Amino acid sequence: MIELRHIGKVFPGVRALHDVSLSIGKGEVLGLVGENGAGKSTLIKILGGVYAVGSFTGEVVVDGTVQAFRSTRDARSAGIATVHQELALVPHMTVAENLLLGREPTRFGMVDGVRAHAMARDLLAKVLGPDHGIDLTAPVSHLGVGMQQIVEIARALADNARVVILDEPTAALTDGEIERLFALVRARRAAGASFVYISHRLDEITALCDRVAVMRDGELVEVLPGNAPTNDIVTRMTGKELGDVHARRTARTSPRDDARTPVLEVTGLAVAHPALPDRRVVDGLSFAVRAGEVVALAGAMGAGRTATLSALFGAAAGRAQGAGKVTGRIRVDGRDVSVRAPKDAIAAGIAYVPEDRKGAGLVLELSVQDNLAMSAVATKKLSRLGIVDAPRAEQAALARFRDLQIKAPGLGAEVATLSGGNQQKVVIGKWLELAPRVLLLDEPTRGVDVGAKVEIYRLIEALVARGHAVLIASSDLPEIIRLADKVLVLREGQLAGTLEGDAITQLAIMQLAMGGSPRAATDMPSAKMPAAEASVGAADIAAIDHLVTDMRPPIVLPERVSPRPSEGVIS
Amino acid sequence: MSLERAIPAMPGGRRFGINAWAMAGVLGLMWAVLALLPATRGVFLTQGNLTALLSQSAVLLVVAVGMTMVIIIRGIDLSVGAGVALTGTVAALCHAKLGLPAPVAILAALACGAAIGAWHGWWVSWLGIPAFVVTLAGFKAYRGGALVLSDAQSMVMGDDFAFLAGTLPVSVTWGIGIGAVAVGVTMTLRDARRRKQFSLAPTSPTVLATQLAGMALLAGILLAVFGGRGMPVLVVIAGAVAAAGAFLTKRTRFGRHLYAIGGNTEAARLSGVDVKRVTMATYMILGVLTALAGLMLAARVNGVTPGAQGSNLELDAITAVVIGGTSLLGGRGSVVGTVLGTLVFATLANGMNLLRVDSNLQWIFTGLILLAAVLIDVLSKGKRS
Repeated sequence: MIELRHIGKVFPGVRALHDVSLSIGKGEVLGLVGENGAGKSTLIKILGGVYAVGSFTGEVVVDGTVQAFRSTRDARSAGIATVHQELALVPHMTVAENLLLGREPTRFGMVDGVRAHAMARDLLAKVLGPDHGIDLTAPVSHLGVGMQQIVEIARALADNARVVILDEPTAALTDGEIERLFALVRARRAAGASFVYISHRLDEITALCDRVAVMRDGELVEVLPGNAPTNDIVTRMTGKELGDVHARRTARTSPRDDARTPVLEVTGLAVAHPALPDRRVVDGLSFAVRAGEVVALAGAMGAGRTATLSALFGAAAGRAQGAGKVTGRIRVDGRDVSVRAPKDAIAAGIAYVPEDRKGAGLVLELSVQDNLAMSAVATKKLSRLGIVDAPRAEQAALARFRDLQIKAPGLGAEVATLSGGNQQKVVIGKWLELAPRVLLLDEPTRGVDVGAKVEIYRLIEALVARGHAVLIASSDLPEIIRLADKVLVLREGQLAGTLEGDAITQLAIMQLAMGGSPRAATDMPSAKMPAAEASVGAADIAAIDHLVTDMRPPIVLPERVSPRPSEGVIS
Repeated sequence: MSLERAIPAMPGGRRFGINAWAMAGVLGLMWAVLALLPATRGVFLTQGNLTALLSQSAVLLVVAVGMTMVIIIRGIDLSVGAGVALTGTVAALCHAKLGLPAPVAILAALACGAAIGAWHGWWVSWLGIPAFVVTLAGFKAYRGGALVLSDAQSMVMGDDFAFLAGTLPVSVTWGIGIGAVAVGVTMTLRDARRRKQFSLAPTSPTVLATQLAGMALLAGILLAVFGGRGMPVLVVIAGAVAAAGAFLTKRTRFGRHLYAIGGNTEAARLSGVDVKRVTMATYMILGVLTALAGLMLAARVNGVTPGAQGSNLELDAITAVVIGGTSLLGGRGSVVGTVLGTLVFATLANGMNLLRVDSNLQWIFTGLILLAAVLIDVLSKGKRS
């Protein structure tokens, strides 16, 4: 039905796409995978009309006719709609208004509100079925991210889209929302609609897609059947046998000696809820991290992982939306540290890689070099009497650039142009000049492709081997299993249990995170425990699936989710 | 060594790479057209006209340099014109009414400017009030303050301030010109040498040659204009402020912090930048420069008219900064760009006067030029991404 023929696209100095030919059939879900920079987004931008005809080579063919899209509007009218990660809904307008945006029914030149409402109702019922449970009069901003996504897909379908491109649709969704999205995609597929589904999560791809197109370095490597083993997909994405991405770090480089003074020692850490001072998002947490040790914080969303890290770094204190009062004792190398602002933590030898890479980790319009030098310059390194020693700063940045194997055209490249994995290397790299004692890493590999993920794991392992202490917060269980010497499982801000050595398994973490109490089961539907990836045995998967299904509440969610204020919605 | 070559060196700050050169070209083009156009009757390139042009730009440039820094951190200051009136009034009162010597009056005015800047910085960074609102309040209040302090009377500055509006002796002019080139050349060569010392990719000879030639050309133009009769003190001050501003933004920790804050405040804070203090300092710098501009203007017109002095100066400064390629969204921009933007702005006004364009029409043209400059900026950004 839709065909891409010999598509090629060149950016200044980069060959983004080379001779890609691909077809999308009626009633098909086509998965599109590849590492960051493989050319996925360029391809869908061509398909969606973002890159106008003439700026690329090759043809886009719909029903046998060669198309010449000049804009996304042209692509829309040919039946191709794209739903981006950043949603294109107007937050303060209602669901109904958003659904009909741009084609409101009018009477005597005025919007016919009654008819508009009826139209929106019928559209939504047609796309989602009669029991969708969405309040048409609610402002879109009141819906959860997942529901907003569904509204946007509904809008695309209502607009007679025949192919809907979903770009990383589940990145911010809870399990319940993902289920609902999948149900919608399957139902519309049955009705003849097609989808192009882009995701980093291979388990989703194999669960949903009929075929999987794998891209690497701007070329289409192979189109695999949807039920291909994930290992096959990974091999083609990376072009090499990665071995086991999640192989556990076996050789502990530095023998642990529990008698030594811990590098980081936290006693009775408590963080009050920012809005409700009586509630605590972190409640009496005590632990220690030794040199050469990786300690991981696990737990469901809102369990206090991010809150713990940002409290240790003093990051929450100055935030505009305010954060809860932090109490407790923090010691670095046996010395008490008073952390009131990030600079106090930095002075004490603590470094922090925040979860929100683009929002809090990088200055996107600055160069790789300026970002790499930022922490060092802020702490008066690489400068004398306030004047930056430019050659020395550049040399230091160049050393990091090479050590970390950052893939970029050069130190002067804007950091915004780098892939997620390389951006993350920059965020970690900017601390290394300071040789911090403790590294706090919040979701260090979120949104990072498989190849870069392994590189970041190796980097963390190398840092630990050099005697840094590392504290990681992660929702990615295979990641925790690979990296952690010790896992602290949090539940509602409290320590639910500690796992060490061979006791660290997905199952054990999940059980501690979910707890046995009925409250935990209902209150934490969103415990985002990613289904096991390649390395986990089939038995494990079955066990976890079983557990997750048990924990998951019925899918009819009232979708007026108020975001948890303690941690980002995504956390 | 091959690896070093494989990784291109950071091109001397891309944030004012191509754009600055393009703008210098535009400026050169404007000058050439104005010089050759018969309608200007050959007046444009005369010493007298260029001296007037640069002296008029001087006050604007001093303010625009500070405004550049404020805009880089995503701020704004609408109170500059009123601040010029208030600080000029303070200086005039101290001198004329209280009989304090001129240097003390000057210090009082500068202190007043610093206080205004600190006041803005406090509201913006500690209380989190938008700069637009804080300085809009200042726009009203400082003008009122000037009127109250002066009883709405115009004041004359007197001879003690005349040196600000005067001209340096020819020998000093040449000394400054040659000295500035020497400092610039030394710094450029020292950088090139130190790059080698740290085994970084060497500065390309073309870039080096262009930089040195640019400096020589600039000094040449200035000496050609002022070498015979001496350079106006106002121009010297403005040049010094611009040089200091360029150094501050480009070479110091403070400068790096400005770009980091403007680009992503949260990331800057989490990297250890003291956002509040830097913000405060930035507004204080603009406050002091406002006071300096106030003194320069008062000296140039030999008086203060509290109700009118410096009106529209804030908007002219913002215009010059934006024409110079600094983004109102923060994080991008440069003092060098602002210097060129100011010169484009002043050349435009000067040229339109020479061409006898109706002064009311001049407003319209200035507005259109501003839009054109922003359009060019947006288009060039679109090309990059």
